[in-house]
Amino acid sequence: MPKRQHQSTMHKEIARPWTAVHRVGDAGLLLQFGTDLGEDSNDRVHQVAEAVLDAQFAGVVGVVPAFTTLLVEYDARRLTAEQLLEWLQVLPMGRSRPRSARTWDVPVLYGGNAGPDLEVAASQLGLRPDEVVSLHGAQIYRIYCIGFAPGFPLAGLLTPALRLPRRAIPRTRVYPGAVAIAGAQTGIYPLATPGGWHLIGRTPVVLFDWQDTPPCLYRPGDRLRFRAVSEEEYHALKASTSPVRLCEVRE
Amino acid sequence: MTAVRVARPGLLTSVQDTGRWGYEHWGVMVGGAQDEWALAWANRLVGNCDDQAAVEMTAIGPELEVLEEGPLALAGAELSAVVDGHAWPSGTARFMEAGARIRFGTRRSGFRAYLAFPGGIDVPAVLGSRSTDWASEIGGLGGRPLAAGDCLRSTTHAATQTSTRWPTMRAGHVLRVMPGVRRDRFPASSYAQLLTREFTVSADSNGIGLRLTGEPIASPRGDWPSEGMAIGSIECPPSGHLLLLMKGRGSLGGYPPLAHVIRADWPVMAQLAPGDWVVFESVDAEEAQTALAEAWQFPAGEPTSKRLAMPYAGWMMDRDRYGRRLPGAGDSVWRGQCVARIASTGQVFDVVASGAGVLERVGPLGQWLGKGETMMTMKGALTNDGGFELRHG
Repeated sequence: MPKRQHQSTMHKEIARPWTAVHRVGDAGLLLQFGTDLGEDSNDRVHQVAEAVLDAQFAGVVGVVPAFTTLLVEYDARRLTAEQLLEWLQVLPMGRSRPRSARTWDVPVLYGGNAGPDLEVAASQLGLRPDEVVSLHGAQIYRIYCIGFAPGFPLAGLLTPALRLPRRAIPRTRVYPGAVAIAGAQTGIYPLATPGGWHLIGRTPVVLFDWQDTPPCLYRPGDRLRFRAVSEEEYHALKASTSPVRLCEVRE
Repeated sequence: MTAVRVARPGLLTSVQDTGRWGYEHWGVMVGGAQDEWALAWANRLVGNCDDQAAVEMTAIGPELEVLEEGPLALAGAELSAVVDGHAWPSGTARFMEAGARIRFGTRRSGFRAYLAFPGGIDVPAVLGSRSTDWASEIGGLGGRPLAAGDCLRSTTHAATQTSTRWPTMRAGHVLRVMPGVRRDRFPASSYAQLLTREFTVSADSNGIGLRLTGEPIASPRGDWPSEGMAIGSIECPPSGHLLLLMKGRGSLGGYPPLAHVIRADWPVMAQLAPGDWVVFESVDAEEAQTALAEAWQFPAGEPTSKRLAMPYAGWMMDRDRYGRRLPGAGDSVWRGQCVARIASTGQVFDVVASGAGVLERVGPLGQWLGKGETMMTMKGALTNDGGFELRHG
């Protein structure tokens, strides 16, 4: 089927940050930014995603930036793939230069009821629970993308000593604020959703607020720093009259 | 204002508009009405724009009590609605008196029906949409499906209420696809397997995705990072059992898609019920564009009915060239779709529809029919005299 192959892949005409463009049926175009899972290609993904969002091109209905790809969805009743590609070729990207990354402070109560999987995860990793906590908090993690659930940051990369496959049986409901690990990634469940990651702690901070614009403060490219807090500190934050939002780490 | 109270909620009944588009980069799912075409019909019948919030009903409809009089419109699946003992067919709007009771019965065709209120249902918008997202617990009424005791109110009085004799859903068993964005990760045989086999919609399907059972597809081996997964994508996990992503899917996925159901056929996909058979037909980008334009036409006037006659004496076969079922009565078909197969003396022909419409009567299958005898009747905007073309099978 060489003819079909030709139709499903369109090649770039002028220098653009992506390395290939693929049709996703008649619902979108998938831009590929190499295959290297590094920060540079991920930066380019988000740079183009922001440029597409800023430009508010009629007929573009959504963008899904991931690790090395960007899905640009369009409404085929208003736009063809060719028109969208033509527009992407001339999309101005100078204005949306990479925003300086921010680092966010995430207070976490580890273990116990707040982190029901900590003990089991530690034993599977051959570590003590307090070693898992200190290893998890020792690093600053980059947010590669947001997905799975509203505001869920896919951050990494975990030190190899903390890498575990997902739980064999996912939970049908994970409590909001759960701090979790799976594979090379760490993340936070902002809302009560199903989930298969290992829950090692809980943050009292409200990560996703439907009433706020934007509903979540961090963006891909930003960093998360997990800070262990005591039960007293956790409950003090939790008991505050207005919801506690994330704070930036000030050096 | 039209207002109703929910006496019984039915199987899965919720407030939905066209969906929460534009926030997937925050992980917010699109959701919304699974069948945007039936939603648009329901809205039009009470003089609304296509995208107003309406009630989406799934397989088993609710029981409603009218609190304040006003019109309501019904479109999509035929769930045997009855208003105070009188049948209320899908595709019509009715003026409801206060105290009237609306009940739904047996599911006769399709899977999802829509109940539209003048000006849409009065609930607050969250991120630009009134759609209920019960996974995130936002939108609609309290972020959850409707429950007994809930009250729904229209935002305006209606100026118009109309009916249509056109079908307000596009039921069918044939979904058109384009090759998957990651088809190069699959064995060469996988796409051909998709196009030549018949699948069944599994009972554990939902608004996130339809699970398809059938002979497993040759699946790709490997591990790739998650990436954006469009609605309509047909994901293939290592088991080889396909998952067709619906509007409630999460924006990121890890299994490579083998194919994508084209936008024109999302409403068809939304009306498939567990147990239904489904087959796939490959189209190119240009055909997809034509299909979409044709699918979103809202015809005016009366549909015409046309009888298709046997061009030769022969048998009408009940399977296509690959042994898959052929469309039957009630299925909507498009121009160019194979609708029947005839075995004549020593020759086999495929019958291809030359216009879009709905099959009314098909058959009898497997019986000898003389030249000129009725093969099927079809309803639609059929201007072409022949109504079908023949191709050597």
